[in-house]
Amino acid sequence: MTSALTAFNIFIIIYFVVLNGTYLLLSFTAFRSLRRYMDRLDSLQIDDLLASSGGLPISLVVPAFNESASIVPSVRSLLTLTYADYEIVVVNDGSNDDTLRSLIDAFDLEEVTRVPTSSIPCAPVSAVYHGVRHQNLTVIDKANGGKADALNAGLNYSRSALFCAMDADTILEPDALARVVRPFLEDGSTVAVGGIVRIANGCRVSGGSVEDIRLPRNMLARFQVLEYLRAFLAARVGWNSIGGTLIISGAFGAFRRSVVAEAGGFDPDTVGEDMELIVRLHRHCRDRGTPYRIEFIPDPVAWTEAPERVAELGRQRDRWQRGLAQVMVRHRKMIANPKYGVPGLVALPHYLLFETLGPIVELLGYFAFALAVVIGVASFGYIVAFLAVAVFLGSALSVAAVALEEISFRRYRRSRDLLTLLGTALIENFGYRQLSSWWRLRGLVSAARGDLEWGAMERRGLEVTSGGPISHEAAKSPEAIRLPNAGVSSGPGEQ
Amino acid sequence: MTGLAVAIAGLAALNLLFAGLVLVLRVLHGRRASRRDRRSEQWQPLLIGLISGDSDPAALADDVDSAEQRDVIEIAWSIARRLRGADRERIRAFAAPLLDVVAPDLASGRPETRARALQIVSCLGDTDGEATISTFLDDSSPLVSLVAARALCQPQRERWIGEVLLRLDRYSSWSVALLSSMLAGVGIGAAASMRTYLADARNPVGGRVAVARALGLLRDPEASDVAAAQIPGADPNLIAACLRLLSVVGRAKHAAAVRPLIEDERFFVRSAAITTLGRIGSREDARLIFEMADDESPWVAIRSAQALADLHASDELALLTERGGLLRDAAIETLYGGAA
Repeated sequence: MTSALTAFNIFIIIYFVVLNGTYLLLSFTAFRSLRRYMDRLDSLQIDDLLASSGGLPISLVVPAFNESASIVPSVRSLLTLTYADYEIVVVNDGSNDDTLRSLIDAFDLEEVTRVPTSSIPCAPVSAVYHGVRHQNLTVIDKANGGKADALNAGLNYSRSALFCAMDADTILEPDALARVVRPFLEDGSTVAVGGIVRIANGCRVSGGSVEDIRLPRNMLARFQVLEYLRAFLAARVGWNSIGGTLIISGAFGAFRRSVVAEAGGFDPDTVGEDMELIVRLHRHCRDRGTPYRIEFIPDPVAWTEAPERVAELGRQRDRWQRGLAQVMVRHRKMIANPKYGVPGLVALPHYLLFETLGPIVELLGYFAFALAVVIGVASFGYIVAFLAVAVFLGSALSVAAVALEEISFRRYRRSRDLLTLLGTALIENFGYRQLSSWWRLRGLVSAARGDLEWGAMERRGLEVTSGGPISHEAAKSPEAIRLPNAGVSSGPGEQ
Repeated sequence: MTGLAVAIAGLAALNLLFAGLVLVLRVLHGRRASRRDRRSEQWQPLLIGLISGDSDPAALADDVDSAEQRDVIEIAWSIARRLRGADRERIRAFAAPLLDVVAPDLASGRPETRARALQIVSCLGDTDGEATISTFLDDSSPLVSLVAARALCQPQRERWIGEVLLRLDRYSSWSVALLSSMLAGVGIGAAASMRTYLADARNPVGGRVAVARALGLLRDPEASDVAAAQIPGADPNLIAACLRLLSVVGRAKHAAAVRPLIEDERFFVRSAAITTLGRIGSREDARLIFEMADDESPWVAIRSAQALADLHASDELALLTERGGLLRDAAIETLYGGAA
């Protein structure tokens, strides 16, 4: 018994070292990639590029479910984006509040006939409305079917070669569309591009844009800022540099419409529809031998509201983990399959071993560690080694992510915020990471049960009056049963 | 035990190293930003004054200290990029003697550095700089080569279009929209070279597609005969590009080459042919389009309704509304702007 426990404990330490070591390696890769990317941004001025190309037309597809409190300011904000040729397609996904009425009244919409240009299955569309004053605004009213279903409806009615999937409560920076379109200009085989999602809690939001970037006061939101930096700037940049991008956040991603339609659109039978689509696009293009590129780039920014309550965050993480598990099961044929190149041979096995099964091993590790200490079989050396690996290696990843932010975008201008982030990198190892593993374990359990519920998140809202802090008015009732767009549908994804 | 201690010390050191790096970067960036702000505050008003004729470019250039030369060039570039004509020329006259500071970057081993320096030279350099830029068309990096091509595809630089067209195949991975806009940027003076390129079947299809689109953007009337001549037996993408070109610059005499294509097996060729017939066809073509409109592709339905509207075929359009399904919706969308 004792020797089995000792052996298991050694295995756990090795697992932690390999897990964190992999991410550290990705951070180093990301360091090099980010520097090159920043230089590349400098070498091809985005405004010149777009001015000379005229930009590619793009449809913004915005699913909305019970968003009456926030949809009007959100659409107003989208109407101010600095991009030459774009349309906004809001999909009212069977809301049972005043979402549709608010849109009709605020934007003077009239009912029109519009021909769908693809026929991806989705819940019935009851009406299409068009903006009288804003010719680039279309609203589709349909029966409830979930976020993926709403995106499919939007896809059917959009007319541009590219479309951008986003959440109704996400704030895009004014130049985000111009930036996210860039890879499509640079390479005609690009089929999907993801931008970075940042956390708006604590920031000053005015007129639909983030005007003053600050760290949130809420500790839970602060942990998430660090998580997002780690996930986007370290992991996703790192994965992207080796062609292993598997996630483009549902909160902000641009796609080549024809390829997504050909692949069957978003899958409504998963709660991780964004990751599922990317993995399916890899599969679709490789099965057909079509040259393609799927890119993550860190400069187009979308801001989102992070949950500030333990229960809400737990539900979100539960859902993300469920989505991940569903993708792994659905695309198990790709795992370790050389036919699927880097995504199949490297990225998917990594996601299976460290992201999907990680919470089980991690929590068992914590339990075995505690047991070994209690029954007195843990040597001093082992205790120190375990804590060192769990704390120092974990915090090294977070501090490295802050360093990546500092060499690239430096969004947190206040030195106090920077120091707070560094402090948070240490603190998060005591409690938050373990809690996160617990939520993810619960997600695996609910995935095994076949749970497709989204869970609810009480929105505090990002739109505030000029100059004030983020409003704390609840924009959504927590008892909403099926919430198509709570936060980022697949969030950081990498721990 | 010693190994463990070393490993722990190493991990702690790694944390400290990263944290230290963050703080050092913050200090360095802060210093650099404040230096640039200071120089911007000093030089921006002077350069704006230069545009308004308050000062002499050569005299102002003499005032630039070598330590601030690079920053001043950056500031001048950021202003000049937004200017055209005489205003840009004044900034050029000021900056050209200072461009030696960028010269080492042109020889950098990093493509991104070379590309950036090329853009600066292109924007702020004098005519002599064009020859330097042209040497980068054959740069080993496609990025640098494309930046050089973009720099040469500017109004008043028509003489370089042949060199750019020769290398168009190097840019085949870039989007056609970008390439065609780049080529069109030269202006109508480059149209003759582009027509020749389009007509030559030995040139790569991707390049000819981009050129056809560029000629469409330039609305070059002489391109119509060339486009019509390329259609028989060509690659479907080239056919579609030529059809789009004809929809802009074609004439009635080209309709005969277009008509058979409304029955093409590829939907994008069919829809492009219908659009073109709508623009250059005759009243008789309306009947043809009406008969062919019952198509599985929604794009063909939409384009058919639009083409009938372009041909002022209101009777056929009204008849479409009675057909039901996609055609009915497409006709309503065209007739009433979508209002049901």
